[in-house]
Amino acid sequence: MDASSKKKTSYTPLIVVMGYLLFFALVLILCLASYFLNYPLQAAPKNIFATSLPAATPSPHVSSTLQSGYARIFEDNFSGNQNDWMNIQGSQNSQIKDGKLLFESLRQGKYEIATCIHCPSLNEPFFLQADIGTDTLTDKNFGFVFTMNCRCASGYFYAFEINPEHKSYSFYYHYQDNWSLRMVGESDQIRSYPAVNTLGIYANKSSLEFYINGKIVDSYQESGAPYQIGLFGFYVDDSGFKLTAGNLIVYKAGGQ
Amino acid sequence: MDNNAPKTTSRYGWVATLAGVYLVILYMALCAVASTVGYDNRQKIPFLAGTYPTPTATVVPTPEILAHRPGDYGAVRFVDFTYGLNDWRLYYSKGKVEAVDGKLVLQSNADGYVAIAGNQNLILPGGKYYIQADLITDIDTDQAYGLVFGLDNHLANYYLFEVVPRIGMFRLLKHTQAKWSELVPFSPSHGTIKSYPEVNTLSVYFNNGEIGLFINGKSMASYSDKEPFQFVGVGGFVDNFGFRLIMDNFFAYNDK
Repeated sequence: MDASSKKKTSYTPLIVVMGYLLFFALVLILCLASYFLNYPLQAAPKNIFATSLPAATPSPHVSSTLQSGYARIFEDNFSGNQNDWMNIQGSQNSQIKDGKLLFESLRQGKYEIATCIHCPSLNEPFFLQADIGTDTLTDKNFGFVFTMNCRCASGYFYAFEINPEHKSYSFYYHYQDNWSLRMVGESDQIRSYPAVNTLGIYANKSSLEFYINGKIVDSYQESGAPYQIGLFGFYVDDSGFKLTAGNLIVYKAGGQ
Repeated sequence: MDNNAPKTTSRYGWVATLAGVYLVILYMALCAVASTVGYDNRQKIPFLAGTYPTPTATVVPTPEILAHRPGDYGAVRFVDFTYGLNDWRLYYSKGKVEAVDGKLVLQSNADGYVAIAGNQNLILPGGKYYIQADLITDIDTDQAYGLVFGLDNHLANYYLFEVVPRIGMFRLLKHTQAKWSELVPFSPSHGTIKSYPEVNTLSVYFNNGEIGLFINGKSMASYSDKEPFQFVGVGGFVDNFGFRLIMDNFFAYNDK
């Protein structure tokens, strides 16, 4: 009886105190639950469409290791003019000299494009690459054209150009003597004259990636654009200098 | 000692019993409060509501002209960018305009630089026209975006109708050569401009210098320009680097 009384005296208040502590804990939980149910912690709102936009920093589909596994669609090391290079504005024919293609615009303020009779018309995802420079210092643009619908000046094509003096690149759409600027950016990847720049373009349906000296500098998308289809060539946007091009290679780049 | 022990036990036992009874009452009250809170918030608690929330995209209803409806719908030009940009082009020398999943996406590529995506072929010369577009950004931003109209081909002259959803304000600017004039100063929209990530539909009615500004179909302000531009370029713009403007459902028509 004495032992039982002692036991009762030592545990009952403790149980009651624990009960109160538990009660206050439950009250606190209930208060917090009530608060957050009425004032929920909301995640930052998000534009759902924005999640389908291309990444602000593009990730490359093409690397030097991948290139070695690609099949080559076309190549020209300009050891001779076996592919019959020509200027589409007809000012004069392109020249092949010392393993390079040389051409220029002979009309001030007018562009010129060099393409070849035996260059294939592309119709699948490709990676187009060449070493491109100039014979003299210039602040004019030059580069690649692609998706050409004809070897003529009146058709449509896209032009990826660089300007080594400004370390800038640009992307245009040309149609029926109209030019539509689509993109302008700057990149430290572009080397100044007299250095040669290796330009690359990856085209897959309506998506493009632009490479300068082995590094991706930008990407581009246009719903419905047939970037992987058509002829290609080299481009200068004015007279006063000659473009020099070497090691032209077109890879079959895979894709869907 | 033995005589005092039962007395002490009895006194503490009575206090403990009373505290226990109060505790039971408090627990019953807590259960009642918890039940009430749970019932009131049953729709917010997934297992009580029986459903779990799923993320939903912002839905733009079927595009239609919200303000200044034309008498002749046959004259309305509608662009949804599903088939690319065609004759839309980038103005200003640092930026990018793309067409992604049937929407025009515009960005500036350098801090402090405006970018404009414009079209010179949607409006015919004549001095009376209406334009409308759905605009949204890819992220929440405190920068301005909006519509451009009266744009010439050389980017010297144009009007800007801009909104800043973060602060719910809008204004109208005029760019003449290199000079800016604030035609309608920053004004509160009183809740008409929707916050990110909601779409805002901006419209402008231009009648030989009488300019009406509309947001989400509601007339916000008007201004009479005594020296109006008659240029016909129209489009969208972003006033800085760091976000992308997504533009869709562009309506344009010449009024008689």
